[in-house]
Amino acid sequence: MALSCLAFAALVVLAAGVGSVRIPPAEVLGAVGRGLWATAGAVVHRPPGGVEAVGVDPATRVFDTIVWHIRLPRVVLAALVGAALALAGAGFQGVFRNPLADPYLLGAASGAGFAASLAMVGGGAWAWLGGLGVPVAAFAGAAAAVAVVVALARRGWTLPIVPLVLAGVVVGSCLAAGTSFVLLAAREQAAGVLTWLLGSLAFASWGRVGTLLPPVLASAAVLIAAARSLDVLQLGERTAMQLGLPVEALKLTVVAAGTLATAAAVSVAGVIGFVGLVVPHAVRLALGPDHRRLVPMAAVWGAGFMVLADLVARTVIAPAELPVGVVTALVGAPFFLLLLRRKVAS
Amino acid sequence: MSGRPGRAPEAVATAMAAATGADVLRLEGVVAGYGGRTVLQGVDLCVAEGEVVGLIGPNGAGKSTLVAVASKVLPVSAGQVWVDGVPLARLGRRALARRLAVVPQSAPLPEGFLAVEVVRMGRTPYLDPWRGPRSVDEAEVERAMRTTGVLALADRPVESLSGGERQRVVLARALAQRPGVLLLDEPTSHLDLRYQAEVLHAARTAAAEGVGVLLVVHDLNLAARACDRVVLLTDGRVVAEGPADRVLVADRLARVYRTEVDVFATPGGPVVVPRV
Repeated sequence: MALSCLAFAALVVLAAGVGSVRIPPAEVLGAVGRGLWATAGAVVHRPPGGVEAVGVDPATRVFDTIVWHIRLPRVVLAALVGAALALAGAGFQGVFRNPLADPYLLGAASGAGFAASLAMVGGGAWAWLGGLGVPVAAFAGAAAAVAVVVALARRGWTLPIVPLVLAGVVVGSCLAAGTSFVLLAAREQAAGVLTWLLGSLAFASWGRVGTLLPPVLASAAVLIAAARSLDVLQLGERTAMQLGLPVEALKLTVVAAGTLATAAAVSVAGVIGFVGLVVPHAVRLALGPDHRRLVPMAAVWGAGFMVLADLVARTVIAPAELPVGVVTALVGAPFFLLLLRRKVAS
Repeated sequence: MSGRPGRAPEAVATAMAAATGADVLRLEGVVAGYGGRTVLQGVDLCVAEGEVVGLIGPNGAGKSTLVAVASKVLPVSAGQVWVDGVPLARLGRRALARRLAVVPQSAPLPEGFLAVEVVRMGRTPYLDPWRGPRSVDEAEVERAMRTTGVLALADRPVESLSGGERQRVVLARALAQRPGVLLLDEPTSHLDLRYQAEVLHAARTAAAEGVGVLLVVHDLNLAARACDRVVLLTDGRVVAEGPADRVLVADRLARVYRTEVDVFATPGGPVVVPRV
């Protein structure tokens, strides 16, 4: 675990250094240090006229601006989005006891997509929310879609898995059809909507990092607390009940926590696929099925994978950018097929 | 059949019942089923502490349904169940799991876990999310694994174990719950003679320590060998109960199983063989 965290830190430094202006790792670390110092200072002292870095040469000042105000928010946002999706994926795969489950299984992606596309096309109606219209719509859409799916599938106080997955598929395709219709109806805005749907971290800012952090932390805390119970659930629902596990409460809690993380990630970065499916899978292959290891490591690996994918997305055809969802899918899809083949073979 | 459901006309004297101690499991007039189909039609049954009771009967008699009812996985539509003298309705899942443990019929274990990790899951009703197992939990895990003879396998991944070893690991998991009642649902199916003996020996060891064991078993000879008392269930009713040599009688078995059988008395108990 320490090794993974170290590798992740190195990756962050590397990613913050690479771009149209190359910045050596030492300068990145210096910029991060000064940025943190300045932020902490601003919080404590609130000096009038902002924080002045004194006695630093101009190149370093430029580097500081690039690293602290442009690259780092994006890298950190990528890490948080990756962690959120991988956490949700690990939780969903645990609850569904199916390694092919992913965070979008219950309609979060199509709900977010439909709501966000409506918000983008009918921009005027959302003007009162300012620039937050699309993120708020996406979050609400994702959460509402999952809530509808859960409501459709529940039997009293129980949440049977097969109806849940079926309801997820049905509601998901329904909303996807709605999104297609919106795209067709508002052709001139279709490119913008599509870019959002494929996922992008281009709008990263410290503000967005700030909005994403609390839900991801909350979701991580819940899922880590549920890890031991998820292990027991792998024995089967009936056996887990006979071991005294509150199975229905566990399922609902994990679905809620996973949906919170997913909806938050989707609202700031669009629908980025395959991270939530592939990363928990890779961790399970590498480190085994124990959720007490699997859940936190999925977060670390998911963060790293996403930082790497975003690095590729913004450098490979620079100065233009690939949608990061395309990159994750390009890596994720072949990996997924490989796993599928291995599963069929065994 | 007439009279009260479940009060079978040919019930054998139950002199041995309650001979050992208090009843740890008691069912009275239990009616239960799935959807519109009633499987148990008024069953009375009790297991005393330290006693091994065999539950036998043809396919579809309701043996596994009874296990589901007693472990509160399936609700009763009429009748009462007591575990450790407490009505089942008053026990939450956690409280029940501290009193009653189940070794399920087919127990697929998730790959990648070590034997000791699976046994540790038996401590679930004693743990909470933020606190891992304490030394008392580890001591119970070790005790359970020693009772079933799997202590040496603790660090082996479960998928590397033989069928009998795996079943004893599951039995150790159940014992780690520190139950007063142990329900074993066909624990020896698919196992060869040696593993059957190992699993049943482990169950008897648990009973010797005071656990009341209800053993659901297909094999009548195994039931006769391993149990203090057997209960013959058919069509959701108890038709006979008592010591094996009193219950396993040729004409009764022929009626219940709808095939001719021979019963041989041996020093180890009756042996039942179908005529072919």
